[in-house]
Amino acid sequence: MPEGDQYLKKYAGVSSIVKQTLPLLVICVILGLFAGVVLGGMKASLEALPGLLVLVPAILDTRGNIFGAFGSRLGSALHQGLILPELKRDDNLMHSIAAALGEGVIISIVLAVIAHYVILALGRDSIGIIPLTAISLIAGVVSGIVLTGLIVLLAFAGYKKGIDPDNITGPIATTAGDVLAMVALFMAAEIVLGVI
Amino acid sequence: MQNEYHVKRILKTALPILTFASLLGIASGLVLDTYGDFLLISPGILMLVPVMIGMGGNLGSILGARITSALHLGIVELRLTDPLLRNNVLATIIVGVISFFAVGVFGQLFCILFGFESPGLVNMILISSVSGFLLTLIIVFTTILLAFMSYGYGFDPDDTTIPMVTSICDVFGILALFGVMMVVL
Repeated sequence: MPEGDQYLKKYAGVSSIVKQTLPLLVICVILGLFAGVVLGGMKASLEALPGLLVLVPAILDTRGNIFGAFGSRLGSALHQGLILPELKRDDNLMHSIAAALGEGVIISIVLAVIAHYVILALGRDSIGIIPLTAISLIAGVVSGIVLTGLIVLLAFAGYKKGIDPDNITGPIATTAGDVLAMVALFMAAEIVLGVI
Repeated sequence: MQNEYHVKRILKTALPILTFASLLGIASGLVLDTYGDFLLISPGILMLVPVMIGMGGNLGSILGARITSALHLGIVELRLTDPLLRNNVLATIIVGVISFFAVGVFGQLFCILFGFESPGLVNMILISSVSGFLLTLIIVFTTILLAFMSYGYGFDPDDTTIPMVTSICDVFGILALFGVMMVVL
């Protein structure tokens, strides 16, 4: 099995794995802390909006899942030549983007509804299904649009420079996703607090 | 060129697993909410929540991607003496220990920079390192188990391992963070 031997020789050593992953992860730690700063700064909103804290990990997590998968599809499509790294109307690209944004909208609503009823079932306080859904939807859509643009641009730019998009879209989706989702969540909470 | 990607097909594959991931996400939110009062007293630890979740997901997805590639190449077996498995486990633990130590150090730095109340440098490093180490062990165990199980049942492990591991990491990441925080503080 020549591919297997080559893989074992080239990629399977402890030091090579550590060397290739550690620098990127340390950058992710620093960026991730910025998301934490936003969360720490939301203390007042979190106290004023009971139930909001339940949504935080789920929203951060779905950013990574949806846009990580979007990046992975984009990477495969670029490698197969199904999508060309050019910013113009293309059916494959449009469908991929539409699917990612559609998933974002559906999951944002699903999350808020599940969170609301689970909170109530456990006898805890919730700000109500409408405000919770509004916050989840605003945060999900705003961060989703920015994240889609960022991933498409960076994957295209990287691919043109010879960088494997599979190596960069995953960490971008999770880390930029966390920061953007926290900022969007903060904004959405402020908007909803202003309305109610 | 034919249209390879279609909204409907992508949604059909993705929505069930995303919904499952959402349920696990809500579960970690409930853990977070349970300790909410405790957290709001200690903004320094609240600040660590996204980065613990994120790092857990990063470690899990890197290990997951590597194990699934090895499975596809047919060069890895589920036994303790398998060299590829051993190297991957060892490397993940080394990277995990260093990264979570860095979480504590940079976390303290950010607390000072942004004026958040922190339990102190030693406690920050202790909390992030110990909970990070526990989380790394959970990640290694669940990632390997899920990848081999998916492959064994005939699913492409690429489709299942990463979303499941990241969601499971959320729950355990927050549990480990608070468990250790309660012991230390």
